[in-house]
Amino acid sequence: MSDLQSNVKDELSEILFVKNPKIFVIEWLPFDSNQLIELNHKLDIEKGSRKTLLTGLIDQSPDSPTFQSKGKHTKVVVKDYSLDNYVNLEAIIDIPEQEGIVQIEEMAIFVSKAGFVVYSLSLKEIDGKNTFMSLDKLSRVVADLSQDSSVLIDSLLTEFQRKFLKIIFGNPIHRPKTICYVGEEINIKHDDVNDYLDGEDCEIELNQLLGEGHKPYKVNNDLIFKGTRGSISIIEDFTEDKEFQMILWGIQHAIGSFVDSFMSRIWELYDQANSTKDIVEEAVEGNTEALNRVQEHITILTSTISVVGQIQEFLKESCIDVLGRCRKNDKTVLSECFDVEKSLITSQNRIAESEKIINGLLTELEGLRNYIATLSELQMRKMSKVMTQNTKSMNQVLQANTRTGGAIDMIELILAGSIILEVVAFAIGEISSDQTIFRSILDGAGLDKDQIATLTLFIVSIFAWIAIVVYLRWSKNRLERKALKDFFITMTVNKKINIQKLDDYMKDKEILTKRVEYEHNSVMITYVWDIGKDAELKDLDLEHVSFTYNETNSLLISIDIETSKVETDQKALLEIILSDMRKSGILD
Amino acid sequence: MFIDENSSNENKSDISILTRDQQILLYTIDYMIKWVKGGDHFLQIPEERTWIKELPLWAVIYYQIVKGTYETYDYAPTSIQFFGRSSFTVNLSYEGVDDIEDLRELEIIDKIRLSTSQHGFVTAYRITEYGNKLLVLIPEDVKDEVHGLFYCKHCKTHLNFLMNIGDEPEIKIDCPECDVSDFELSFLKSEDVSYISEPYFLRISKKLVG
Repeated sequence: MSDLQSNVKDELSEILFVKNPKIFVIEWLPFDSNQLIELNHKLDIEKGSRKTLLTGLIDQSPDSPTFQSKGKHTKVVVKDYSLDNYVNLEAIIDIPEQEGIVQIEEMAIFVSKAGFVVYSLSLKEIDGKNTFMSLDKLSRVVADLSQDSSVLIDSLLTEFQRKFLKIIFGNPIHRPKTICYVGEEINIKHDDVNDYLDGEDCEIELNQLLGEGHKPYKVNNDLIFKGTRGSISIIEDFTEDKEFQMILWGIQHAIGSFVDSFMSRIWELYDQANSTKDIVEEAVEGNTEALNRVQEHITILTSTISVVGQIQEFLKESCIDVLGRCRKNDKTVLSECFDVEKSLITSQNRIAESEKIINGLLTELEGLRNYIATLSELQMRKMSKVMTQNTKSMNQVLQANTRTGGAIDMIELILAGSIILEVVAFAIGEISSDQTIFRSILDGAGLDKDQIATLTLFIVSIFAWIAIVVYLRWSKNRLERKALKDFFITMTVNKKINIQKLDDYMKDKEILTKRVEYEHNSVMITYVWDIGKDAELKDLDLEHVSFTYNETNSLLISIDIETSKVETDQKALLEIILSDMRKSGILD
Repeated sequence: MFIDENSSNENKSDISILTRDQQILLYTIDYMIKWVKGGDHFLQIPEERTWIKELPLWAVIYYQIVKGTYETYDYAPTSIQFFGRSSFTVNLSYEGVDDIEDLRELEIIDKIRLSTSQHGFVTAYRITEYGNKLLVLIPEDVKDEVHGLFYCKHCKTHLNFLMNIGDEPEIKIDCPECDVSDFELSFLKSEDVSYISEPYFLRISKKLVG
C-alpha cells in the first residue's frame, strides 16, 4: 500500500528509526471476576469464535423493535478465555478517518481479572514505509491508538466500571496509558548508551515518546530506555522471558499512573470537603439557601468518596496479585533493568495510605451531616417557637377582640333600647316623664287613667327592649359558633410540680411535640398532647393541651388549652385539667 | 516553587550566544507576556511580576511551527495531564521544550512551578533582567517575523489568544474583527498518519494469570 498518506502539517526531522516495531498499550482498569464474567457474556463467548460487532451505546428504548447505531463499531473475535480469569481478543477497529488516511488497525487485547489490560500490535507499515519506522511517526500512531483503545474498551465495560473511570478521569476517553515499544534494531546504535542523551536530536526524539528525564540501559546486546510514559526496548531476540519482564514492568507502571490520578482525585475531594465547611459556616449564620446547598454537597461528596473507596479496594487486590506474580518471577538480567517490585510496593503503600484519607473524609462528612441535621433541627425549633409566639399573639388579639366585642355588645343594647323607645314614641307619641305618677304612688293617692297608660307603655317598652337584647345575643352567639371553631385558653400556674409524676403522666398521652429550650441556667420543656384518645378527658370539648414547665426548679409555668367550643366554661375546663394533674400526683 | 538566581551573565551580553530559533522563542515569550497583559486581562501589574504559563506558550510555538517560523523545530503528539486529571494529546515541540530549558540554563528566563486547585502543577516562565538586556539586541527581522504572525492577514487586527481548560479543553487564536480565518490552531488535535497493523498476541498471557 504505497499510497498511504498523512495530514502532518510540518516537515518532520526524523532521526531515529526502529525495525519492525511492536507496540504495547497497557492500562489498569477496575476489574474482578464478576466484571470479567460480565465482559465474557457480552462477548457471547458461548457462541464460539465468530466475529462480534461491539458498540458502547445503551439500548434506551427496550420496547422498540429496532435500534439505530452511529456507524462506529469494533469487530472482536475471542481467541482464548477463562470465564472468570482472563480473555484474549482480536479487535479490528473501524472508526472513520479523514480523507486520504488509511488505517488498518488490528490489535490483540488481553484483559485479566486483576485489571490489567494490554493492547498489543505489530506495525507493518506507516505512511507507505515498512521495516524501519521513525519514532516521530510512531508517536502519531500511538496518539491514535491511545484514543481508539479507550473507545474500544468502553464498549466492553459495564456501566459500573464506566462510572469509576468517569469519577477518576472526568473524561475517561482521555486517560493516561503506559506505552511500551519493542523494535528489533535501531538505525543509530551507540556503544555507550549515554550518547543517546546528547541534549539534541536523539534525546529529543526519545523524549517525544518517553517524556523528559528518561534513562538508557544496555543489557548485553539489548537497549532499554525507560521514561515517565513507558519504555522503548531494542531487542534482537525478543524471547518470552523478555516479553514477560517488559509487560510486568508496564503493568506496574500503569498501576502507578492510575494511582497518581486516583490520589489527585482524592485530594480534589478533600478540597471539596473543605469548601463544604465554608458553606456550613454560611448556613450557621442563618442562610437557609446555604443549608439546602450544603446538604446536597454532602450527599454528592459522600457518594463520590464511597465509589473512590470501592476503587481503592480493586486497586489493593490488584496490587497484591501483581506483586505475588512478581515475587514468583525468576530473576533474569533484564528483570534487574525492569525493576518492578520496588515500584509496586510504593504503589501499594500509597493505596494503603489513601484508605486513611478516604475513611477520614467519610467520617468528616458524617460529622458535617450530623451537624447540619442539628442545625436544621435548631432552625425548626426556632420556627416552632416563632409559630407558638404567633399563636399566643393571635390568642391575645382574639381575646382583645372578644373584649372589644363585649363593649360593642353593650353599645348595641343601649342603641337597641333607644330604637325601641323611638318606635314606641313614634307609635303613640312621647311618653312624658310625669313626676306625678311617682308622687301619686308615694302619696298613696292612686293613679288616674292617663298615668296607668303611661306606666303601662313604659313597662311594655322595657320588656320590648329586653326581648330585643335577648334576641341579639342569641343571634350573635350563633354566628360566633359558626365563625370560631377553636379557642385558646391560657393559664399561668407557677406552681411546684413532681417532675417524675409528670413524666409518668405524659407516658399515657399522645404527645404531639416535646420542645426543650435552654434559657440561662434553666431547662424549659413544653409538651403538646392530643386529648382525642385520653380516656379521662375525651368527653370534654378539648383539642390539645400543652404544659410548659421549668425542669430545673420543678415549676409548672403555664397550661394552654385549645378547645372547639366557644361557650365552654374555661375555668371549669382548667379546673378539670388541674384536678386530673392533682389526682396523678403532679400537683399538690 | 523555586527560582534560579545564580551567577551574573554581564560578560555574555551578546545575542550571538542564541540560535535564531532561540531568539524567536525568547522574543515570543516576551511578546506573549505583553500580549496577554494588553488583552482582555489587562492589569496594571509590573511586567517583572507577569509569568507566561507553559501550555499557552507551547500552543503558540506549535502555531509558529505550522507557519514555518522556526528552522529546526517540529512537533509530536504528546499525552499530557491537564491539572492532574484527564490526559490530552497536544502537538508539543520537544525542540522548543529543549530550547526553553537552554534559555533557563543561560539564566535568560526564570521558571516557576505552582500548584493548581486540582492538585496538579503548572509551570510558568518570565524573562530575567539579563534576558531583557538580550531582548533589545534581537535583530529587527526576527521581531518582525514574530509580530507578523499575531496580526490578521485580512483586516490587520491584532489576534486574540483564548484558552479554556475544562473536560473538553479549547485553545484558539482568533481575529476579533473578521470572520475569515486562516489560523485554525489544531494544537489539541493529533494529526493522523496512515498505517497498517496486525494483532500481536502475548505469548506469556497464561503466565500473567496462571
